[in-house]
Amino acid sequence: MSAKHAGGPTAAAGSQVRPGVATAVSVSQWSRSATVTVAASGVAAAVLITLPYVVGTQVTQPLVTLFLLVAMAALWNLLAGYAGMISFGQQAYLGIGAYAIYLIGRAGVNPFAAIPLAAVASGLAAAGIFLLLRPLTGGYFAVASWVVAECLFLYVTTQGWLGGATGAGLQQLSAMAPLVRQADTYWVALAVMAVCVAGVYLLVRSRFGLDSRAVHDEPAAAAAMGVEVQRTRRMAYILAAAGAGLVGGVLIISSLYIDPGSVFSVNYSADMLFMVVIGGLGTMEGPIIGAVIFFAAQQVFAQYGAWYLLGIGALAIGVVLLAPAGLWGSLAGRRGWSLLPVGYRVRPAGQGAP
Amino acid sequence: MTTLTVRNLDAGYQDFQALFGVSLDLAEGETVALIGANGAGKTTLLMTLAGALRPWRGTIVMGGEDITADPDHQRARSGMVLVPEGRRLFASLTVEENILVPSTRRGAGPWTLEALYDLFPIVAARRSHRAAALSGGEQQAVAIARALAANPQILLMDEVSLGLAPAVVDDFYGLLPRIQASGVPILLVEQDIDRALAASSRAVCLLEGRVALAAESATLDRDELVSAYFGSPSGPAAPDQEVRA
Amino acid sequence: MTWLNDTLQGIFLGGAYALTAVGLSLMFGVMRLVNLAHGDLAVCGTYLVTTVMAALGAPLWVALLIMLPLAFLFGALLQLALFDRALSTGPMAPLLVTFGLSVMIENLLLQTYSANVRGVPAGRFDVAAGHIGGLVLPWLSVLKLVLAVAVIGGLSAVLRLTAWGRRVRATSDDLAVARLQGVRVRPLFAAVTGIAIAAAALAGTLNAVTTGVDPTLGTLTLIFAFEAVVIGGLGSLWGTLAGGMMLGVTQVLVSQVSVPYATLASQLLFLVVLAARPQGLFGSALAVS
Repeated sequence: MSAKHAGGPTAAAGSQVRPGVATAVSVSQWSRSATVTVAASGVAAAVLITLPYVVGTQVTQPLVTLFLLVAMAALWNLLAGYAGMISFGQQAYLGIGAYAIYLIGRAGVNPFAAIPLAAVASGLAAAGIFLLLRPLTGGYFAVASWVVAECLFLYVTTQGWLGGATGAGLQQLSAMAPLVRQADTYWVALAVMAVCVAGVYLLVRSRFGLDSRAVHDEPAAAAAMGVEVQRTRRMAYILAAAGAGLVGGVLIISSLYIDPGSVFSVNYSADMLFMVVIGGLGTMEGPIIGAVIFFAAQQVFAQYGAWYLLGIGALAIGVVLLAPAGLWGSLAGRRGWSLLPVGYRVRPAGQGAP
Repeated sequence: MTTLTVRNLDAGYQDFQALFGVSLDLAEGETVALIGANGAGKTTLLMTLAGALRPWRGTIVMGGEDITADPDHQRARSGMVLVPEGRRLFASLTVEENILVPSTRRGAGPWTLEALYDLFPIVAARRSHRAAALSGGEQQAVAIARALAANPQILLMDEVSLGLAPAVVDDFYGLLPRIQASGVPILLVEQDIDRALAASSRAVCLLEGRVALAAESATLDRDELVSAYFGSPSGPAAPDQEVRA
Repeated sequence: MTWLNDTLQGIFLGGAYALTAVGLSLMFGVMRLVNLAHGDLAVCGTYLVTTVMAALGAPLWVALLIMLPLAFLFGALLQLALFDRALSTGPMAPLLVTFGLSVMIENLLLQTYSANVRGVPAGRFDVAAGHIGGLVLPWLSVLKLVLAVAVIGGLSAVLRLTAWGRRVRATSDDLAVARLQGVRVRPLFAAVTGIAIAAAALAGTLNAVTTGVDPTLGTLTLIFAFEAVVIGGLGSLWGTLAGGMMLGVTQVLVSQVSVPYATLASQLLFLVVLAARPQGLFGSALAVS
C-alpha cells in the first residue's frame, strides 16, 4: 500500500509527523514579510499620529475620510469576502452609531468618549436584526439588508426627536476650539481604523476566521464537520455592524451634523463594494489598497461629477468578470505574496518563511 | 446510426485529472458496457463525451465528424444524447413535457411520442403527472424516453439501475433489446457486472481513469476482470499518476 | 365607502407594482438572477421615451411603441454581454455586477438629463377618471392594472403552452440537463431578459406619468419590485401580482391614517412576510437560498 501524504494541519510547528516519512514539516501562520508589514505599519502609525502637530487641516481632514474608508472596506470584506454575506445595508449601522452619539451627547456625555458606545448600540441592533436575516442568503440577504436600512431611514425621518428628515446637530462640541476638535477627530478616526483593521485581521486568523471561510466556500461540508454555520455568520454580522457603528460615530463628530438621507444612503454600500472588489475580495490587503485607490480617485476625479462614479462602476464590473481576485488578489495570488497572512503554510522544517 | 471513435482522452475537474488517455470505439448497433469501481471515471467519461466537461486533450469523433470542440447543446443536437446519472428529470414539467423538451431531432428517427408510449406503458399512464411525483422506476423510464425522443445517434446511459428495485431493473433490461433493435450504439455504465456483460457485446473496464481492460463480453476472463476492476493487489499506483486532491 | 375606494386605489397601485416587478420575477424565476439594476433600467426606458417624445414631437403611445423593442434588444444585449458571464463566474458575481450596473446607469442619467424631476406628458389621460358610485377609476391606473394582468397572463400562457415556454421551464428546473438535451440556453436567456427589461420600461414610463421621473428613482423602484416578488413567492408570476396588491393596499390604507408612515408600513409588511414565510405566498420552500 503506497504511503500518501501523512499528517494534517494540526501538526505543531517543527514536529516530526510520522517516523519513516523523509521530511519533518513546520506549520506556521506567520511569515517574515508579515513581520516587516507590521513593523512598517507601526512606523506609519507613529508618523500619522504626529501629523496634526505638523500639518494643517487641509491634510488631516481628507485623511479622516481615508481612514474611515479603510475601516469600512475592511469591515465589508469581513462580511462579503470571508463570511460570504453580501450586505447592502451596512449604512444602517453607520446611522445607528451616529444617532447613538447624538443621543448620548444630548444626555451630556462627551461624544468622543461615547464612541465605543456607538459600537455597542450598533452591535446590539445587529444582533436583533440578524434574527430576521438569518435564513437568507445571496440576493435575498443583500436586498433584505438594504430594506432594513431603508426602514431605519424612513423611521428616523418621521421622528421629530431625532431631527426628522432635516437631521440633527451635535451641539456639545461647538464649544471646543476647532483646531483641537479636528485634531481629536483625526486621532479618533485613526484609532477606529486601526481597531477595525486589526480586529478583522485577528478575527480572520483565529478559529472563527477558519470557520467562516469554510462556511463561505462549502456551507454543507462545513456544517458536516461541526462548524456552527449560523453562529459564525452571526458573529461576523454583529462585529461588522459594531465596527460600522464606530465609523458612524466618527462621521457625526467629524461633520457635527447628521443628515438621515446621506448617512442611511446605499451609496455607502456602493463605495464599500467598489473598494473591496477592486482591491481584492477575500484578502486582508485588498480592501486597504482598494480604499486608498478609491480615495485617490475621489480626490482627483470628483470634479467630473457623475462620470467618475460611472467609471468606477465600470471598473468594478470589469474586475468581477475579468479579474475576480481584484488588484491585490491578481498580483499576489499567483506569486504567493502575503503581507498579512491569514492561512497556514506547511514547509519543510528549518526552511524559513519568505 | 453512426460510430464513435475516442482517442487519448484526458479530462478532469479544475486541478484534478480524472481521465488519462482513454480510447475506445463504438460501432453501429453495438452496445458496450463501461464498468469499473466507484471513482474510476465512468461518469466523467460519459459527461466528457456528452460535452458537459471540456476535454483537456484527445479527440472525439462521431460518424466521421470531429465533435471535440462542440459544446454540450451542440452535441445533443448532433445526436450524442446522455441519460444522466440519477435521472435528473425536469421536476416542474409533466412527464409528456419532459419527453418533448428535446425537440429538434424529433422527426429524425423512429422514436415518436407514440412509439415511446408503446415502449414504456408506465410512462404513457402517467403522462400528465408532474415528474417530481413519480417513483424512481417511473422516473428512470421517463429519463430514457426523453433521451430516445431526441433520436440519438449515440446513446450514453449512466447507471440506470441506480437506486432501483431489482424487479424494476429486470423490466428495464427486458426492454433494452427493443432499444438496441433500432441500431443505435449504446455506451452503458452499469454497476451490476453480470447484467452489464449480458446486455453488451463488448466491455471496457476503467481503473483510476485509465482503460484497464477491453474485451468481448461473452468471453471475458473473470480473473482478468477482477484485477482490472480492483487494480493489482500488490503494486502501487503508476508513478506518473496525479495524486488525488 | 371611502375604505372600499381606498382599497380599490390600493389594488390599482398594486397593479402598477406588479407590472414593474414582473420582469424581475421572470429573471429571478428562470435564471436565479436578482437584477439589482432592474429599477434603473425602468427609469432608463422612461427617459428614452421622453427623449423620443421631445425629438419627434410624438405622443406618449408612439414613443412607447418605439421604445419597447429597443428595450427588448438592450435587455438581450445586457444578458449576452454581461449577465451570462456573471452567472458563470460565481454566486456573488451577479449581485456585484448588477449593483455596479445600477450605479453606472444612475450616474449616466444624472449626467445626461440632470437631477431635476422630468414629467411625462400624456395629455388629459393622466388625470382622466371614471366614477362608479363612490368609486374612482383613474383610467391610467386601470390601464396599468389591465396591463399587469395581461402581461402576466400572456407570459404564463406562453410558458405553459408553447415549446419555447417548455424549454424555459426546463432550463429553470435544471440548467445543465437542459443543455444536455440540446436546449440553446444563451438565446433563451437573452429573450427572457429582453422581455423583462421591456416590461420594466413600460411600467416605469406609465408610473412616471403620475409622479415624474428622476435619475435616483431606480432604487425605490427596485425595492418595491423585489418586495412584490418576494411576498408573492419565487417562480410565481401571479404571486408577484398578489404581492404587488398587498404592498399597494397596505400603502394606501396606511396613508389614509398617516402619510409619513405609509411607505414604512409596506417595508415592514415585506419584513414580516420574510420572517414568517420567506418563500412567499405561492413559492416553494426551496426558493430562499
